[in-house]
Amino acid sequence: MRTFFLHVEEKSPLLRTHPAVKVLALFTVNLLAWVIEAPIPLLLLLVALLVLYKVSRVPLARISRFFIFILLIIQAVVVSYSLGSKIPGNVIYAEFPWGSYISDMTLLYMATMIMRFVCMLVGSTLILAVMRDVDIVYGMLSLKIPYMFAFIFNLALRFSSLFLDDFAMIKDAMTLRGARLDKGGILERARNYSRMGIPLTVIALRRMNELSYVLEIKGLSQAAKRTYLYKFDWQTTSVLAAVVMLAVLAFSIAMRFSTGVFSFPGWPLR
Amino acid sequence: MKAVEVKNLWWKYASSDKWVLQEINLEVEEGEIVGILGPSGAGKTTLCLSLSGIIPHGIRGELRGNVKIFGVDTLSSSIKDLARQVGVVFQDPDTQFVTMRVLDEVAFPLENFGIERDEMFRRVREALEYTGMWKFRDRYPFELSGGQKQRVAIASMLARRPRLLILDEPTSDLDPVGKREVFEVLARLRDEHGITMIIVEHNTEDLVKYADRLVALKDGKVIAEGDPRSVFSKAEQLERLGIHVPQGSKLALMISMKLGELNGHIPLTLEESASFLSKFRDYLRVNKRESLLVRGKPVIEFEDASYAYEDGTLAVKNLNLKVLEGDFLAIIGPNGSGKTTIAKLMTALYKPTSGIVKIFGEDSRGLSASDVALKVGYVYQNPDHQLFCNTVYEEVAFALRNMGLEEKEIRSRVEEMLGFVGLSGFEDVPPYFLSKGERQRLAIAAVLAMGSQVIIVDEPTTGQDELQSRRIMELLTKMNRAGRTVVVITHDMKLVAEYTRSVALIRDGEVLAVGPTRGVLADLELMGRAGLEPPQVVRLSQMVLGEPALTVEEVEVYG
Repeated sequence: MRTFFLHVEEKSPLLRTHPAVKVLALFTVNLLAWVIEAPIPLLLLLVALLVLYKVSRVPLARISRFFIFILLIIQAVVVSYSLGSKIPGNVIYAEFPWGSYISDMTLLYMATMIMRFVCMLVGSTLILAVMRDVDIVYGMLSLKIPYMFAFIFNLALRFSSLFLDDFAMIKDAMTLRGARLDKGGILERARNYSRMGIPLTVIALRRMNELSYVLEIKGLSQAAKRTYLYKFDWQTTSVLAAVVMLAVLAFSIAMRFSTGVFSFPGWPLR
Repeated sequence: MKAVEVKNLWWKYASSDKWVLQEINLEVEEGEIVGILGPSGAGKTTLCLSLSGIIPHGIRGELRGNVKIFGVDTLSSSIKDLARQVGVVFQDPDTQFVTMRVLDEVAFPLENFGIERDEMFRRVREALEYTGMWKFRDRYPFELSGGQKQRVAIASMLARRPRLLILDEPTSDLDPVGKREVFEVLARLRDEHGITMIIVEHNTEDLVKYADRLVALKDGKVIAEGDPRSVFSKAEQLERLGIHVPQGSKLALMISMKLGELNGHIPLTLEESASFLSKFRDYLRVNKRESLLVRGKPVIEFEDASYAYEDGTLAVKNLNLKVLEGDFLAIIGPNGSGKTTIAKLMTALYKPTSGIVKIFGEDSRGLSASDVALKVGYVYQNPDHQLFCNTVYEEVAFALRNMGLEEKEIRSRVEEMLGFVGLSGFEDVPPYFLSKGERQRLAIAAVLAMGSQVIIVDEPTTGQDELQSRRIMELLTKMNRAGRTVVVITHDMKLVAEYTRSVALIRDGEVLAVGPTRGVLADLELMGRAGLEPPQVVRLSQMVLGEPALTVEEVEVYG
């Protein structure tokens, strides 16, 4: 079955859960990665997500499609924290004339930040791999979010998968004109990739333009009374999954803000 | 009641001073099928947008005159209210899909119009069964073939039961089978439901079979209107404007000019043309154009090569094919037959999952795509995917800079290439300000500048009018004559017949036949097996004269 980003086996257990649970999972995973700041619990979260990948029968190899984004995240975190942070630590490895420095805690914090972003990416791609557009719309409707907002959110997600296809095609076109996009330093690579902004923007604008006509013609409007093709019933497993997720989220918030166990070691910084 | 009444319609977009539609007057009776013809930029799509109410409600600009749909003025009605009566199908089915499942796609407008669930299911099923797409109801729309996609787009309009259906170039991206599928559905709609239809179409050979009336536009004005026979009696004038005239009609006009026997009754369909031609059988012969046999050494070789995508789809199966130096090869086949995958294997963008692809004698698995690009250039179907610089000059210079050439050499090559593709003087223009035809030629120039000995061009004429298509094919011919090997992927059989030297016929990732263009296109059984149809003139000349002519010009009148 085709879902956002991927084809997934119909037997995947996550595919059958209630849409609201999937939407909740999407928010929970991203919130958890934001709430948890401590490296070890983050690592555990990442491992748990990878195990879920396996359980859900989502082929892990497919995540390679997002490898370039992981690489970009790593580069962005490393550059910004190396050159622009002042995180006190036991050892200072480098100091810069503009006042920032790199300490052992800077390195640990960089690793933590990378893990947070990777958790978000792995978690989101996992959930989106078992989600179809109707899951987003019906899930958000179950959570009392207005249809128009749910539809636009769904459309944005669907466009992101088309965006990835365009990205790959433009990258190939540049390669076929002799560009070596992944060679050279960070700045050179950034400059190479920045050229893709022009065609990506033009294609997206053209697509949005045509889509706006299509939606009008298909009768989409905010004011009208709308009916729905599907009805989804809550099953025990879905209810249980929602409760567990909310409990984990509440527990993590408590651990972070009440006990500080999920905070970055050494915070607050002096 | 009239389905459409357009009175003295003028329209200009807010971003331009030019009137895109000028003094348009048009009336369409209920149940009538009207075909709209015209070159690119004639105002065909703008007219469709005006009839659906998107102009003036969804697009800013200046409107004069009025448009009434079933007696309702579009100015006083919202797009949504008009949409209850009017369905619109656009050229590109991909941009029309807003959901991820065929069933949901057809249901989406019904949900928006508040149709009850049971009624919705009934209508969705009916529309999908009508268009033959019910069995694909759970499929992802983007994975269907072009013809199937367009049938889903039509079904999603039909489910609403519109009284007027507007179709803007619904078959331009489709192979002959896809075109036929769409036209068959339209014909049934007319015969069984009497739905009024306005069809914008470059493909006049199919259109004339169904249209009651044709309207030809040029620069926003109506230049010809009437029943198809009267419109195509001005064939020469239409051709000059970039409108494709059915080959049978063109042939009949040519014969009548020499033998004077037409009496105003110009044949339109294949059957009518065959009957007309058979009367002059004794005065006609096929004068085959000289076609040089290509004997060059292989530049690209497939040896039992296969390619499977990540999801396991086997797009190319045990392919054996040689592209010879100096050839002008057309790779033809139905939508989804693996043509583009084959092209990407030729450029080393894809590596075979089994077997070998040799590029200039080297195994592609050991080559990088950016290195191969110096020898094998690839031009994408959509030029927008490969134009990424701020000016036309920079676009052509991009690859040359990657090659490390000096600025003087770059300047000289850019000037030469822009001259070659007819874009001299556009150096400082941003590529996105060019027309689609110009962007396609710029994309070719940008690849050509690298000096690649082989150039692969993927569907270069899709969505282009007759004049633009010919301009591009003539450019490729010029390149071929200058010694480059050209591989073109297309499903425009007319252009294949007129311009290429040889053909590789592909179906389901396998080669059905490779050989000289005439031999492959004339084998009707083989073409039929691939789901393709040779150009009308090939079929006509075989039916009447017993041997295939590739172009109208190859049929000679003597005596």
